[in-house]
Amino acid sequence: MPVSHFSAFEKFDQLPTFFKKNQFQRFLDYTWDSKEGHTTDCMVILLKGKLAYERCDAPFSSQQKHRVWSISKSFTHALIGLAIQQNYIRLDDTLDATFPMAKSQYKKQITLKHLMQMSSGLDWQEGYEGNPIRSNVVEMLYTKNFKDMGATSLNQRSIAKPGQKFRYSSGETNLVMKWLKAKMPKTTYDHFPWNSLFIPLGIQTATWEKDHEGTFIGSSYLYLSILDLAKFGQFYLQNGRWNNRQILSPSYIKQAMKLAPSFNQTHLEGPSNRESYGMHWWLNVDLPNKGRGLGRPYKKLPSDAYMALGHQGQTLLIIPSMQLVLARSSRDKKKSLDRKKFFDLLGDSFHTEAL
Amino acid sequence: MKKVTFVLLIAIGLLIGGYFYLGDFPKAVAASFAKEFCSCLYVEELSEQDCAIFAKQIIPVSAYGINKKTHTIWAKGLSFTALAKFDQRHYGCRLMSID
Repeated sequence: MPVSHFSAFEKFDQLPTFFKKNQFQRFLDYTWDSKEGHTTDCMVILLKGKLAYERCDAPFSSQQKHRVWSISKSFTHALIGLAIQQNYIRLDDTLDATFPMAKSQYKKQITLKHLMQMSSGLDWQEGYEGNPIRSNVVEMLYTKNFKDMGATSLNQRSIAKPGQKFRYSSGETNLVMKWLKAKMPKTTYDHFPWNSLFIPLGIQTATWEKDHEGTFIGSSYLYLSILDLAKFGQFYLQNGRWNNRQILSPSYIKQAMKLAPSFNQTHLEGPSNRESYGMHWWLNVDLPNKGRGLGRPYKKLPSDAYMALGHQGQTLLIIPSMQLVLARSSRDKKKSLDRKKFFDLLGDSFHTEAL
Repeated sequence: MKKVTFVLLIAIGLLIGGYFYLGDFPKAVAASFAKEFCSCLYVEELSEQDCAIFAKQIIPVSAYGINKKTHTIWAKGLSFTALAKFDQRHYGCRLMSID
Protein backbone atom coordinates (compact mmCIF):
# COMPACT_ATOMS: atom_id res chain seq x y z
CA MET A 1 0.00 0.00 0.00
CA PRO A 2 1.61 3.27 -1.05
CA VAL A 3 2.03 6.03 1.48
CA SER A 4 -0.92 8.40 1.28
CA HIS A 5 -0.08 11.32 -0.98
CA PHE A 6 -2.63 13.33 0.86
CA SER A 7 -0.47 13.24 3.95
CA ALA A 8 2.38 14.78 1.95
CA PHE A 9 0.57 18.10 2.08
CA GLU A 10 -0.57 19.85 5.21
CA LYS A 11 -3.94 21.52 4.96
CA PHE A 12 -4.01 25.25 4.27
CA ASP A 13 -6.88 26.70 6.23
CA GLN A 14 -6.59 30.41 5.50
CA LEU A 15 -8.22 30.47 2.09
CA PRO A 16 -10.00 33.81 2.72
CA THR A 17 -6.63 35.53 3.10
CA PHE A 18 -5.85 34.63 -0.54
CA PHE A 19 -9.22 34.52 -2.28
CA LYS A 20 -12.31 36.71 -2.25
CA LYS A 21 -15.06 34.30 -1.29
CA ASN A 22 -17.68 35.14 -3.92
CA GLN A 23 -15.25 35.49 -6.81
CA PHE A 24 -13.48 32.27 -5.90
CA GLN A 25 -16.84 30.52 -5.84
CA ARG A 26 -17.56 31.89 -9.34
CA PHE A 27 -14.24 30.44 -10.51
CA LEU A 28 -15.14 27.06 -8.99
CA ASP A 29 -18.62 27.16 -10.49
CA TYR A 30 -17.14 27.68 -13.95
CA THR A 31 -14.51 24.97 -13.43
CA TRP A 32 -17.05 22.31 -12.47
CA ASP A 33 -19.98 23.38 -14.62
CA SER A 34 -20.63 20.45 -16.96
CA LYS A 35 -23.06 22.58 -18.96
CA GLU A 36 -20.04 24.55 -20.19
CA GLY A 37 -19.00 21.50 -22.22
CA HIS A 38 -15.66 20.90 -20.52
CA THR A 39 -15.10 18.05 -18.06
CA THR A 40 -12.93 18.69 -15.02
CA ASP A 41 -11.86 15.43 -13.39
CA CYS A 42 -9.72 16.81 -10.58
CA MET A 43 -8.42 20.13 -9.33
CA VAL A 44 -5.90 20.81 -6.58
CA ILE A 45 -4.62 24.18 -5.36
CA LEU A 46 -1.56 24.49 -3.16
CA LEU A 47 -0.84 27.71 -1.30
CA LYS A 48 2.48 28.12 0.48
CA GLY A 49 3.07 24.42 -0.13
CA LYS A 50 -0.10 23.40 1.68
CA LEU A 51 -3.26 21.83 0.32
CA ALA A 52 -5.80 24.65 0.00
CA TYR A 53 -8.32 22.98 -2.32
CA GLU A 54 -8.86 19.48 -3.57
CA ARG A 55 -11.73 17.93 -5.51
CA CYS A 56 -12.03 14.97 -7.84
CA ASP A 57 -15.21 13.80 -9.51
CA ALA A 58 -16.00 10.18 -10.33
CA PRO A 59 -14.57 8.12 -11.90
CA PHE A 60 -11.31 9.76 -10.74
CA SER A 61 -9.75 10.04 -7.31
CA SER A 62 -6.85 12.27 -6.25
CA GLN A 63 -4.46 9.33 -6.07
CA GLN A 64 -5.45 7.82 -9.40
CA LYS A 65 -3.28 8.14 -12.50
CA HIS A 66 -4.52 10.56 -15.13
CA ARG A 67 -2.96 11.25 -18.52
CA VAL A 68 -1.35 14.68 -18.64
CA TRP A 69 -0.72 14.83 -22.42
CA SER A 70 1.60 17.75 -23.23
CA ILE A 71 2.29 18.53 -19.60
CA SER A 72 4.71 15.62 -20.12
CA LYS A 73 6.91 18.14 -21.97
CA SER A 74 7.60 20.08 -18.79
CA PHE A 75 8.63 16.86 -17.03
CA THR A 76 10.97 16.31 -19.98
CA HIS A 77 12.40 19.74 -19.16
CA ALA A 78 13.17 18.54 -15.64
CA LEU A 79 14.77 15.32 -16.89
CA ILE A 80 17.04 17.19 -19.30
CA GLY A 81 18.14 19.50 -16.48
CA LEU A 82 18.95 16.52 -14.29
CA ALA A 83 20.87 14.87 -17.15
CA ILE A 84 22.85 18.07 -17.69
CA GLN A 85 23.75 18.13 -13.99
CA GLN A 86 25.00 14.55 -14.31
CA ASN A 87 27.07 15.48 -17.39
CA TYR A 88 25.20 13.26 -19.82
CA ILE A 89 24.25 16.07 -22.18
CA ARG A 90 24.61 19.85 -22.67
CA LEU A 91 22.25 22.49 -24.01
CA ASP A 92 24.81 23.57 -26.62
CA ASP A 93 25.42 20.04 -27.94
CA THR A 94 24.65 19.86 -31.65
CA LEU A 95 22.34 17.30 -33.17
CA ASP A 96 24.83 16.01 -35.76
CA ALA A 97 27.29 14.85 -33.08
CA THR A 98 24.80 12.18 -31.97
CA PHE A 99 22.78 11.77 -35.17
CA PRO A 100 25.18 11.79 -38.15
CA MET A 101 22.22 11.75 -40.56
CA ALA A 102 21.48 15.34 -39.50
CA LYS A 103 24.01 16.66 -41.97
CA SER A 104 22.15 19.33 -43.93
CA GLN A 105 23.33 22.91 -43.54
CA TYR A 106 20.62 23.82 -41.02
CA LYS A 107 20.11 20.47 -39.29
CA LYS A 108 23.72 20.21 -38.19
CA GLN A 109 23.40 23.59 -36.45
CA ILE A 110 20.47 22.46 -34.29
CA THR A 111 21.35 22.39 -30.61
CA LEU A 112 19.54 20.78 -27.70
CA LYS A 113 18.59 24.31 -26.59
CA HIS A 114 16.89 24.96 -29.93
CA LEU A 115 14.78 21.85 -29.44
CA MET A 116 13.91 22.82 -25.87
CA GLN A 117 12.78 26.22 -27.17
CA MET A 118 10.80 24.68 -30.08
CA SER A 119 13.03 26.64 -32.40
CA SER A 120 14.85 24.01 -34.46
CA GLY A 121 13.41 25.25 -37.75
CA LEU A 122 12.21 21.72 -38.53
CA ASP A 123 8.86 21.57 -40.28
CA TRP A 124 5.92 20.36 -38.17
CA GLN A 125 2.12 20.41 -38.12
CA GLU A 126 1.05 19.96 -34.53
CA GLY A 127 -2.73 20.40 -34.73
CA TYR A 128 -4.57 17.14 -34.63
CA GLU A 129 -8.04 18.42 -33.89
CA GLY A 130 -8.27 21.05 -36.60
CA ASN A 131 -6.63 19.00 -39.33
CA PRO A 132 -5.93 15.41 -38.25
CA ILE A 133 -5.25 14.33 -41.82
CA ARG A 134 -2.18 16.55 -42.14
CA SER A 135 -1.09 16.29 -38.51
CA ASN A 136 2.46 15.13 -37.85
CA VAL A 137 1.36 14.23 -34.32
CA VAL A 138 -1.17 11.71 -35.63
CA GLU A 139 1.50 10.22 -37.90
CA MET A 140 3.93 10.04 -34.98
CA LEU A 141 1.62 8.57 -32.35
CA TYR A 142 -0.58 6.32 -34.46
CA THR A 143 0.50 5.63 -38.03
CA LYS A 144 3.80 6.11 -39.88
CA ASN A 145 6.19 6.63 -37.00
CA PHE A 146 4.72 5.03 -33.89
CA LYS A 147 7.57 2.54 -33.60
CA ASP A 148 10.29 5.22 -33.53
CA MET A 149 8.57 8.44 -32.52
CA GLY A 150 11.85 10.08 -31.58
CA ALA A 151 13.02 9.94 -35.19
CA THR A 152 9.95 11.72 -36.58
CA SER A 153 11.33 15.25 -36.30
CA LEU A 154 14.80 14.12 -37.28
CA ASN A 155 13.42 13.21 -40.69
CA GLN A 156 11.51 16.47 -41.16
CA ARG A 157 12.86 19.08 -43.57
CA SER A 158 14.24 22.38 -42.31
CA ILE A 159 12.11 25.40 -43.09
CA ALA A 160 14.15 27.95 -41.15
CA LYS A 161 17.59 28.49 -39.70
CA PRO A 162 17.71 27.08 -36.14
CA GLY A 163 16.77 29.68 -33.55
CA GLN A 164 14.84 31.88 -35.98
CA LYS A 165 11.34 30.44 -35.99
CA PHE A 166 9.11 29.16 -33.18
CA ARG A 167 7.04 26.13 -34.03
CA TYR A 168 5.42 24.12 -31.23
CA SER A 169 6.30 20.52 -31.97
CA SER A 170 5.72 17.31 -30.04
CA GLY A 171 8.25 15.79 -32.40
CA GLU A 172 11.02 17.99 -30.99
CA THR A 173 10.37 16.76 -27.44
CA ASN A 174 10.53 13.15 -28.55
CA LEU A 175 13.74 13.85 -30.43
CA VAL A 176 15.10 15.29 -27.17
CA MET A 177 14.18 12.06 -25.38
CA LYS A 178 15.72 9.94 -28.13
CA TRP A 179 18.86 12.08 -27.89
CA LEU A 180 18.99 11.55 -24.11
CA LYS A 181 18.65 7.80 -24.65
CA ALA A 182 21.70 7.86 -26.91
CA LYS A 183 23.75 9.59 -24.23
CA MET A 184 23.38 7.13 -21.36
CA PRO A 185 23.44 3.36 -20.76
CA LYS A 186 20.09 1.69 -21.46
CA THR A 187 19.39 0.64 -17.89
CA THR A 188 20.24 4.14 -16.63
CA TYR A 189 17.84 5.65 -19.17
CA ASP A 190 15.06 3.17 -18.41
CA HIS A 191 15.09 4.14 -14.74
CA PHE A 192 16.18 7.75 -15.13
CA PRO A 193 12.75 9.42 -14.62
CA TRP A 194 12.22 7.41 -11.43
CA ASN A 195 15.73 7.49 -10.00
CA SER A 196 16.44 11.13 -10.73
CA LEU A 197 13.03 12.75 -10.35
CA PHE A 198 10.04 10.72 -9.18
CA ILE A 199 11.65 8.89 -6.25
CA PRO A 200 13.41 11.99 -4.83
CA LEU A 201 10.07 13.85 -4.98
CA GLY A 202 8.08 10.95 -3.52
CA ILE A 203 6.03 10.67 -6.71
CA GLN A 204 4.69 7.11 -6.67
CA THR A 205 2.00 7.08 -9.32
CA ALA A 206 4.00 7.83 -12.49
CA THR A 207 3.75 5.77 -15.66
CA TRP A 208 5.72 6.95 -18.69
CA GLU A 209 5.07 5.14 -21.93
CA LYS A 210 7.79 4.40 -24.49
CA ASP A 211 7.95 3.68 -28.21
CA HIS A 212 9.35 0.46 -29.70
CA GLU A 213 12.88 1.89 -29.66
CA GLY A 214 12.56 2.37 -25.91
CA THR A 215 12.32 6.18 -26.10
CA PHE A 216 10.10 7.78 -23.47
CA ILE A 217 7.29 9.67 -25.18
CA GLY A 218 8.27 12.96 -23.60
CA SER A 219 5.70 14.85 -25.60
CA SER A 220 2.50 13.18 -24.46
CA TYR A 221 2.42 9.91 -22.58
CA LEU A 222 3.07 10.56 -18.90
CA TYR A 223 0.38 9.58 -16.37
CA LEU A 224 0.27 10.49 -12.71
CA SER A 225 -2.15 11.50 -9.98
CA ILE A 226 -3.36 15.06 -9.55
CA LEU A 227 -1.56 15.27 -6.20
CA ASP A 228 1.70 14.14 -7.79
CA LEU A 229 1.19 16.66 -10.58
CA ALA A 230 0.70 19.42 -8.00
CA LYS A 231 3.81 18.18 -6.22
CA PHE A 232 5.84 18.62 -9.41
CA GLY A 233 4.51 22.18 -9.65
CA GLN A 234 5.52 22.83 -6.05
CA PHE A 235 8.97 21.45 -6.85
CA TYR A 236 9.41 24.09 -9.59
CA LEU A 237 7.92 26.79 -7.37
CA GLN A 238 10.62 25.90 -4.82
CA ASN A 239 13.23 26.35 -7.57
CA GLY A 240 14.08 22.67 -7.76
CA ARG A 241 14.42 22.14 -4.02
CA TRP A 242 12.64 19.32 -2.23
CA ASN A 243 12.92 18.18 1.39
CA ASN A 244 15.90 20.48 2.01
CA ARG A 245 17.75 19.02 -0.97
CA GLN A 246 18.58 20.96 -4.14
CA ILE A 247 17.61 18.48 -6.84
CA LEU A 248 17.34 20.63 -9.96
CA SER A 249 19.51 23.68 -10.57
CA PRO A 250 17.65 26.99 -9.89
CA SER A 251 19.55 28.66 -12.75
CA TYR A 252 18.34 25.99 -15.18
CA ILE A 253 14.74 26.64 -14.07
CA LYS A 254 15.27 30.41 -14.35
CA GLN A 255 16.60 29.99 -17.88
CA ALA A 256 13.42 28.14 -18.88
CA MET A 257 11.30 31.10 -17.82
CA LYS A 258 12.95 33.46 -20.32
CA LEU A 259 11.07 33.99 -23.55
CA ALA A 260 12.49 31.88 -26.40
CA PRO A 261 14.14 34.44 -28.73
CA SER A 262 12.42 32.93 -31.76
CA PHE A 263 9.00 33.55 -30.23
CA ASN A 264 9.22 37.32 -30.69
CA GLN A 265 10.15 36.87 -34.32
CA THR A 266 7.34 34.49 -35.18
CA HIS A 267 3.81 35.53 -35.97
CA LEU A 268 1.36 32.85 -34.90
CA GLU A 269 -2.21 32.60 -36.04
CA GLY A 270 -5.04 33.62 -33.73
CA PRO A 271 -4.81 33.71 -29.94
CA SER A 272 -1.55 31.73 -30.03
CA ASN A 273 0.21 34.92 -31.05
CA ARG A 274 -0.47 36.30 -27.58
CA GLU A 275 1.05 33.36 -25.76
CA SER A 276 4.68 33.12 -24.77
CA TYR A 277 7.05 30.19 -24.47
CA GLY A 278 10.32 29.56 -22.69
CA MET A 279 11.90 26.12 -22.62
CA HIS A 280 9.14 23.51 -22.52
CA TRP A 281 7.07 25.81 -20.30
CA TRP A 282 4.40 28.36 -21.30
CA LEU A 283 4.99 31.81 -19.83
CA ASN A 284 2.94 34.88 -19.03
CA VAL A 285 5.51 37.50 -20.00
CA ASP A 286 4.99 40.60 -22.11
CA LEU A 287 5.84 40.28 -25.77
CA PRO A 288 7.85 43.45 -26.42
CA ASN A 289 8.78 42.86 -30.05
CA LYS A 290 5.32 41.76 -31.05
CA GLY A 291 4.20 45.22 -29.89
CA ARG A 292 0.67 46.12 -30.87
CA GLY A 293 -0.15 46.43 -27.17
CA LEU A 294 -0.43 42.69 -26.74
CA GLY A 295 1.02 42.64 -23.24
CA ARG A 296 1.03 39.36 -21.40
CA PRO A 297 -1.27 36.50 -22.41
CA TYR A 298 -3.26 36.25 -19.17
CA LYS A 299 -3.58 39.79 -17.87
CA LYS A 300 -5.27 38.87 -14.59
CA LEU A 301 -2.41 36.60 -13.60
CA PRO A 302 0.94 38.01 -12.45
CA SER A 303 3.68 38.15 -15.06
CA ASP A 304 5.78 35.58 -13.19
CA ALA A 305 3.07 32.92 -13.72
CA TYR A 306 4.09 29.99 -15.86
CA MET A 307 2.24 26.95 -17.09
CA ALA A 308 2.44 23.41 -18.38
CA LEU A 309 -0.56 22.84 -20.64
CA GLY A 310 -1.93 19.75 -22.31
CA HIS A 311 -4.57 18.41 -24.67
CA GLN A 312 -8.16 18.25 -23.39
CA GLY A 313 -7.55 21.00 -20.85
CA GLN A 314 -4.76 19.60 -18.66
CA THR A 315 -3.32 22.52 -16.70
CA LEU A 316 -0.50 23.08 -14.26
CA LEU A 317 -0.18 26.72 -13.19
CA ILE A 318 2.61 28.03 -11.01
CA ILE A 319 2.67 31.56 -9.58
CA PRO A 320 5.86 32.03 -7.55
CA SER A 321 4.93 35.52 -6.28
CA MET A 322 1.75 34.09 -4.73
CA GLN A 323 3.24 30.74 -3.74
CA LEU A 324 0.38 29.16 -5.66
CA VAL A 325 0.23 25.93 -7.63
CA LEU A 326 -2.93 24.85 -9.43
CA ALA A 327 -3.32 21.47 -11.12
CA ARG A 328 -6.35 20.53 -13.21
CA SER A 329 -6.91 17.17 -14.90
CA SER A 330 -9.70 16.91 -17.39
CA ARG A 331 -11.25 15.28 -20.41
CA ASP A 332 -12.52 18.27 -22.38
CA LYS A 333 -13.84 16.32 -25.33
CA LYS A 334 -17.08 18.09 -26.19
CA LYS A 335 -15.65 21.56 -25.85
CA SER A 336 -12.27 22.86 -24.74
CA LEU A 337 -11.93 24.78 -21.55
CA ASP A 338 -11.85 28.52 -22.21
CA ARG A 339 -8.47 28.89 -20.62
CA LYS A 340 -8.52 32.67 -20.71
CA LYS A 341 -11.85 32.74 -18.86
CA PHE A 342 -10.59 30.13 -16.40
CA PHE A 343 -7.47 32.16 -15.59
CA ASP A 344 -9.40 35.47 -15.58
CA LEU A 345 -11.90 34.13 -13.05
CA LEU A 346 -9.05 32.79 -10.93
CA GLY A 347 -7.23 36.15 -11.16
CA ASP A 348 -10.42 38.03 -10.25
CA SER A 349 -10.62 36.05 -7.05
CA PHE A 350 -7.18 37.04 -5.74
CA HIS A 351 -7.06 39.69 -3.07
CA THR A 352 -5.08 42.51 -4.68
CA GLU A 353 -2.78 42.65 -1.66
CA ALA A 354 -1.93 39.01 -2.34
CA LEU A 355 -0.60 39.98 -5.77
CA MET B 1 -22.44 6.20 -72.53
CA LYS B 2 -19.97 9.08 -72.72
CA LYS B 3 -21.66 10.62 -69.69
CA VAL B 4 -21.34 7.40 -67.68
CA THR B 5 -17.66 7.07 -68.60
CA PHE B 6 -17.06 10.69 -67.60
CA VAL B 7 -18.77 10.24 -64.20
CA LEU B 8 -16.85 6.99 -63.68
CA LEU B 9 -13.55 8.70 -64.46
CA ILE B 10 -14.37 11.54 -62.06
CA ALA B 11 -15.28 9.01 -59.35
CA ILE B 12 -12.04 7.06 -59.89
CA GLY B 13 -10.11 10.34 -59.86
CA LEU B 14 -11.71 11.35 -56.56
CA LEU B 15 -10.96 7.95 -55.05
CA ILE B 16 -7.31 8.09 -56.09
CA GLY B 17 -7.02 11.73 -55.05
CA GLY B 18 -8.73 10.96 -51.74
CA TYR B 19 -6.41 8.02 -51.16
CA PHE B 20 -3.34 10.21 -51.58
CA TYR B 21 -4.88 13.10 -49.66
CA LEU B 22 -5.83 10.91 -46.71
CA GLY B 23 -2.46 9.13 -46.72
CA ASP B 24 -2.09 7.00 -43.60
CA PHE B 25 -4.83 8.83 -41.73
CA PRO B 26 -7.43 5.99 -41.93
CA LYS B 27 -5.06 3.80 -39.90
CA ALA B 28 -5.27 6.32 -37.04
CA VAL B 29 -8.93 5.52 -36.35
CA ALA B 30 -8.27 1.98 -35.11
CA ALA B 31 -4.78 2.78 -33.81
CA SER B 32 -5.75 5.69 -31.59
CA PHE B 33 -8.75 3.80 -30.23
CA ALA B 34 -6.72 0.69 -29.36
CA LYS B 35 -3.82 2.63 -27.83
CA GLU B 36 -5.86 5.12 -25.81
CA PHE B 37 -8.35 2.45 -24.68
CA CYS B 38 -5.42 0.35 -23.46
CA SER B 39 -3.92 3.23 -21.45
CA CYS B 40 -7.33 4.17 -20.10
CA LEU B 41 -8.08 0.62 -18.94
CA TYR B 42 -4.70 -0.54 -17.67
CA VAL B 43 -2.92 2.68 -16.68
CA GLU B 44 -5.70 4.98 -15.55
CA GLU B 45 -7.68 1.93 -14.41
CA LEU B 46 -11.06 3.22 -15.54
CA SER B 47 -13.96 0.93 -16.45
CA GLU B 48 -14.41 -0.59 -19.92
CA GLN B 49 -17.48 1.57 -20.37
CA ASP B 50 -15.64 4.80 -19.46
CA CYS B 51 -12.72 3.84 -21.71
CA ALA B 52 -14.97 3.11 -24.68
CA ILE B 53 -16.41 6.61 -24.35
CA PHE B 54 -13.00 8.19 -23.83
CA ALA B 55 -11.27 6.45 -26.75
CA LYS B 56 -14.10 7.12 -29.20
CA GLN B 57 -13.22 9.66 -31.88
CA ILE B 58 -15.30 11.45 -34.54
CA ILE B 59 -14.96 8.40 -36.78
CA PRO B 60 -15.93 5.42 -34.60
CA VAL B 61 -14.34 1.97 -34.78
CA SER B 62 -16.51 -0.83 -36.15
CA ALA B 63 -15.44 -3.36 -33.49
CA TYR B 64 -13.01 -3.81 -30.63
CA GLY B 65 -12.10 -6.43 -28.09
CA ILE B 66 -10.13 -6.95 -24.89
CA ASN B 67 -7.94 -9.93 -24.11
CA LYS B 68 -7.54 -9.73 -20.36
CA LYS B 69 -5.06 -12.62 -20.25
CA THR B 70 -2.57 -10.94 -22.57
CA HIS B 71 -3.51 -7.37 -21.60
CA THR B 72 -4.17 -6.50 -25.22
CA ILE B 73 -6.80 -4.40 -26.98
CA TRP B 74 -7.69 -4.74 -30.64
CA ALA B 75 -9.82 -2.36 -32.68
CA LYS B 76 -11.11 -2.35 -36.26
CA GLY B 77 -11.81 0.81 -38.19
CA LEU B 78 -11.87 1.84 -41.87
CA SER B 79 -10.63 -1.67 -42.81
CA PHE B 80 -7.57 -1.53 -40.56
CA THR B 81 -7.02 -3.55 -37.39
CA ALA B 82 -4.80 -2.19 -34.61
CA LEU B 83 -3.42 -3.93 -31.56
CA ALA B 84 -2.20 -2.28 -28.34
CA LYS B 85 -0.60 -4.03 -25.39
CA PHE B 86 -0.07 -3.15 -21.76
CA ASP B 87 3.58 -3.70 -20.88
CA GLN B 88 4.04 -3.01 -17.19
CA ARG B 89 3.22 -0.50 -14.47
CA HIS B 90 6.07 1.89 -15.23
CA TYR B 91 5.84 1.79 -19.01
CA GLY B 92 2.11 1.46 -19.63
CA CYS B 93 0.75 0.63 -23.09
CA ARG B 94 2.15 0.61 -26.61
CA LEU B 95 0.57 0.42 -30.01
CA MET B 96 1.90 -2.89 -31.39
CA SER B 97 0.64 -3.14 -34.96
CA ILE B 98 -1.75 -1.76 -37.57
CA ASP B 99 -2.70 -4.10 -40.41
